[in-house]
Amino acid sequence: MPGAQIMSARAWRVAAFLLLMAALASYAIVQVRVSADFSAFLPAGATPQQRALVTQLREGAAGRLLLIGLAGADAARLADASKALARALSARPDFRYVANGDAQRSEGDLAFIFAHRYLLSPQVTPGHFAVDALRAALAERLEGLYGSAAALEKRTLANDPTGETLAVVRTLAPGKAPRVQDGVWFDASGKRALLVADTATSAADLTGQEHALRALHEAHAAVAPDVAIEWTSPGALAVASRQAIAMQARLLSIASALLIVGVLAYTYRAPRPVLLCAVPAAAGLLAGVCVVYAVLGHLNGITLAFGATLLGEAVDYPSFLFTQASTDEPLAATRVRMRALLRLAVLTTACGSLALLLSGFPGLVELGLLTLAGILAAGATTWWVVSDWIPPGFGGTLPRLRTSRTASLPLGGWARGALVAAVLLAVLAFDLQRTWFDDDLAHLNPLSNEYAARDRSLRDALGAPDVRALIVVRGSDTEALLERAERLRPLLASAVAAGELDGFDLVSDTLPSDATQARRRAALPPAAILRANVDAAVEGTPFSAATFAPFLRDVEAARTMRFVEAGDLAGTALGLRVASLLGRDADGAYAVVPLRGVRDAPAVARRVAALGDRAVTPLDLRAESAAMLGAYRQQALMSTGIGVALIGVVLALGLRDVARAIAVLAPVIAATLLAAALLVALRVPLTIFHLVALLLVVGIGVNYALFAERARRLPGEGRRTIRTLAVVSATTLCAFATLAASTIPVLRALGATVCLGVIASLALVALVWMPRRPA
Amino acid sequence: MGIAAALCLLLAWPLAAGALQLDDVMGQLRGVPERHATFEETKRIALVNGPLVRRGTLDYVRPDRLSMRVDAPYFEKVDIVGDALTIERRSGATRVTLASQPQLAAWVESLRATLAGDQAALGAHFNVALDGSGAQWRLTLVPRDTTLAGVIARVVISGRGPEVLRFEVEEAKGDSSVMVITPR
Repeated sequence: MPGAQIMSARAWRVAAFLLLMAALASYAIVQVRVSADFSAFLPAGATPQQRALVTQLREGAAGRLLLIGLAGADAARLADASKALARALSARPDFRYVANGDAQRSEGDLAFIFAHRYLLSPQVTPGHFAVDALRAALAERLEGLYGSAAALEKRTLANDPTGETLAVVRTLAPGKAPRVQDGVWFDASGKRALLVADTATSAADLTGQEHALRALHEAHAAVAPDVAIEWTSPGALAVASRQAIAMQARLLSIASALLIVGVLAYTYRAPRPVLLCAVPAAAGLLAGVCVVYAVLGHLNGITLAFGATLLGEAVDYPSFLFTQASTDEPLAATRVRMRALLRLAVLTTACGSLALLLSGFPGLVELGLLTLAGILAAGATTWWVVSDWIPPGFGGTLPRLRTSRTASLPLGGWARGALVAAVLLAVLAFDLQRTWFDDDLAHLNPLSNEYAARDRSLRDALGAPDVRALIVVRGSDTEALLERAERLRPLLASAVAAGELDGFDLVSDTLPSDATQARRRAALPPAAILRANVDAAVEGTPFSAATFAPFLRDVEAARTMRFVEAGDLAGTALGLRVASLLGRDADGAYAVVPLRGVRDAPAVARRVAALGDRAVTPLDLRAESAAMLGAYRQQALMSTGIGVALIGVVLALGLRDVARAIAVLAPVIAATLLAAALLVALRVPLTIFHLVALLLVVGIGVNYALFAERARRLPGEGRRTIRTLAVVSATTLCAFATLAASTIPVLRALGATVCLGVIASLALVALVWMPRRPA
Repeated sequence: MGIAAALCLLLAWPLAAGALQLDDVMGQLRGVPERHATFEETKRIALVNGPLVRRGTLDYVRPDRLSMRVDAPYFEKVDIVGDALTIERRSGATRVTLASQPQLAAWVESLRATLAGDQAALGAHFNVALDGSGAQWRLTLVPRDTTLAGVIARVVISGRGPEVLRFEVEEAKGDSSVMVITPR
């Protein structure tokens, strides 16, 4: 019997679909790992600067540093809390090193410096141990002994009369150290105790950073719950951003889902169609995710989020069919009637995303492939699966159309063309003089200004290096890096003297190169000469030569002392400092020189350039990320242009009429530009996220235009078309209006752009395609 | 029997009258709101042959402001206000909080608490022994804290009436310093 055959065919299709979905779902759950590593977004052929940028963002030491402030109690209690917290945090594996200015914690460092002072001190030069120099040094020591701080002088006089230990300590101290009170760091007001903690995981590992923050909270609750704590670090800010975005996204998704369900429920008055509207979009997303992961091997969370946005168009595909249903035909007939349009709608969006796929930028390729696979899968699902599930007689449940006539406009063809042209010209003329785009990542920060202010305040108080500016030195091995870094010292010192920057952390200050240590060793005089010099120098002073026997002994030992290597510093703060300044990436070994308080970046860059060493490059993280974002944006713009052209070609082929294709595409392009222009006029700087939203607007607009074109071509379709457009635009507006209400810039960008674009599309499509009102 | 007792009393009276009480000395010291003096400090350090002598002025304002200015042979200025100590020398200034430097705090307190007549503060850091007669008194301070006692063996402060005239520090390792104070 024919009915039974159709039944089984349908059942087979549905069963096959469910099986396929189950297979994809299990693949997705088991295999697909959504990564949060933005190094995958690096365009191919990136400059060494850009690669260094990504490495620094990923693993940079400054990015790992957690700055902590304690307040809300008197100074003594805060000092105790600081010491207790430092102890508690050091015990945890989440933190490599904790510093709070506590002198006891740095006793080991001081002992190491003292033991190796003649190799580490920048003062050790051949003339440093001559009679005159020794005499001057002794005069200084004597003055110290006269003073009230004689106790300190007495400790090192016999071993170190030339003051090498102090010289080394001075080069290590950051230019702006927080002041020490009650044994630990305090800010200038004395109301806040300060600590820094070096987290074990990199700034890009948000899970690890979250773990470290949790450890901080637990330690705080355990040792000093009565004291208020504040903290900041790039990792902490990223974690907070992620939480803020996730929370808002969840809230807004629920809100928009409820609104959409409401609209669909009002339209269809039955539960099954409403549920079925979700199936193609879900299937498309699932298929897209699996295809991307299977083909490219990676999937980034950002791509997933954007892909889900672009696939929001697929929610409308079932509505294209359902809203066209009528009581006097079975849904199968509706399907056949709408086949051409649905196919064209799917193909235009698919070809648009083809342009992204071919752009060559990894992030855009992922997005393009996700959209392509998703849209095709959604279209196929709508065509072959969803339409089977509608019960017969469905058309009767749709709301009756109130108007007895088709809507129409009193304007003639020329007038309309002129209006559209006028809109386009207005857009171009008005906004061409402004910059449309903003590539500054900082403006996309979803967190309130409070976070930024707290970060600045803690960073200033601690004199912590700005995460932003550094110099990258490359070399074949550690020794080459240290030698190059040493050559930077006079240059950077004069930059500081000129006020171009406040300070810098040079790795060679902590660990001199072997060449430098060899020079210093060679500068140490033999015992006999040194003894003679000391004898001559003490003449006429209250010192006796015998006092300095330990000095003679130490210098003699230093003359044959083994060089200090990075490994010797293990376990000291010096070692951690060196480890944080040295690194290794795909391009080889590198050293970073963090710059503090850069006030004149171009001047510093000029000085570095004057060195003429190609292995030394200044890196402005913010400028580089803006440049990278700008490059992406340029490529996305180009790809969008190509995509629109491809859509035009598909339309021409599908409609078999070039003029009609242009007439379909022109209002959509005008509407998209109008939406962009409105945003610019509202002083909203456009970012790459707006571009993605505009892509969606083009896809949606083309669908509306196709419906309008079809209504114009086929008599009697007007009312149904209006119904369709009303339903699908209502659901889209519901979804994106909720996004536009978000406080997060990225979500707001997507929402506002799509809402503006949809409204503009409807207006301009109506303007072009609505029939003329008969006189 | 009664005569013997009376004789004993008579003999003991001058002793009783002459025996100084710490409370009295402290009370006298407390009565002075401001002090201005010049001093000469002589230090003897094992590492150096011969004494190191320096001269300057000493100023004190109740309850906790103490400042010392050295004019010869090397300039130095030490200002102590409450918990904050600032040393200014030719090479620069350093600021320290006494709470973070217990030994320095004890040394400062030994002089400052005496100038203030603050018996409690003195007793907190040191075991105080008083001897002397008439207007002349001498306080011998031995640190209570064992770590401090390993550095400072004894501080001896002598004076007459409400004036502090001599401040001596004997270090455990043998070095010593004597400050002779002349009120202006």
